[in-house]
Amino acid sequence: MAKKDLSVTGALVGGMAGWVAEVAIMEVTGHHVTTGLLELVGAAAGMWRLDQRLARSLNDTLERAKTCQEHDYQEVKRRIEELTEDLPELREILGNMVDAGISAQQA
Amino acid sequence: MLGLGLLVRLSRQVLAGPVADAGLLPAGYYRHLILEALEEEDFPRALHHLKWAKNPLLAQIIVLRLRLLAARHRQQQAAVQDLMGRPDLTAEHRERCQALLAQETRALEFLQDYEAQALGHLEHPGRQNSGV
Repeated sequence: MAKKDLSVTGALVGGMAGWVAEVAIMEVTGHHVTTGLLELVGAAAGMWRLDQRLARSLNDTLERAKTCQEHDYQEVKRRIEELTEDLPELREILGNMVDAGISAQQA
Repeated sequence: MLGLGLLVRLSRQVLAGPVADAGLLPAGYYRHLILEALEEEDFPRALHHLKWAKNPLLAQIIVLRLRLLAARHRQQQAAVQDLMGRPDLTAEHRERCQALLAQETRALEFLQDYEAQALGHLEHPGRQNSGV
């Protein structure tokens, strides 16, 4: 991926989920056990998970572009360019990923 | 921890149902749902949530996945057609090949329809889905 895209909304939703969990724990146990820890964990998880999942999806897509046991990155790049002519953003991201693979193969 | 697990599961069930289908949740939540659907190769579900995700990259990923899958089906279709051209094929095998060919054709029609819907989202973001 070209840049890390942190999700502020994800963090808010995660924080809110953490708060709900904390209130539930307090209601059930009668103790204030976590003292805000779950909100922080929820916020951090919400912020990072979307980014990681998107990166995983792009990797998965790249893997699917390889046919059978094909390991020739130039051929994979040609195939991706052919299929993403009208998808400029994805074409650039996957192109960069394949270029990184070619560099790694040459090193 | 059991109570917490139940709470999370209950919240997910509520969010994944009517609330999510009303498009009331943050765009990031729909992005998660789309990526989850893509992991399961559930294209209708991914397309269903696409209008609320506000992310053209996800639509582009769906289009490419569909094209890759369609290419695989076209290869299988060609292989079956090659097989049907063999002179030593029995009537029973020919019938099976015909059935397989019909399935491949149907699968390709579905994939083309999904691709058109995903491309529609790229051209008109936020548009309502018609066929899914």
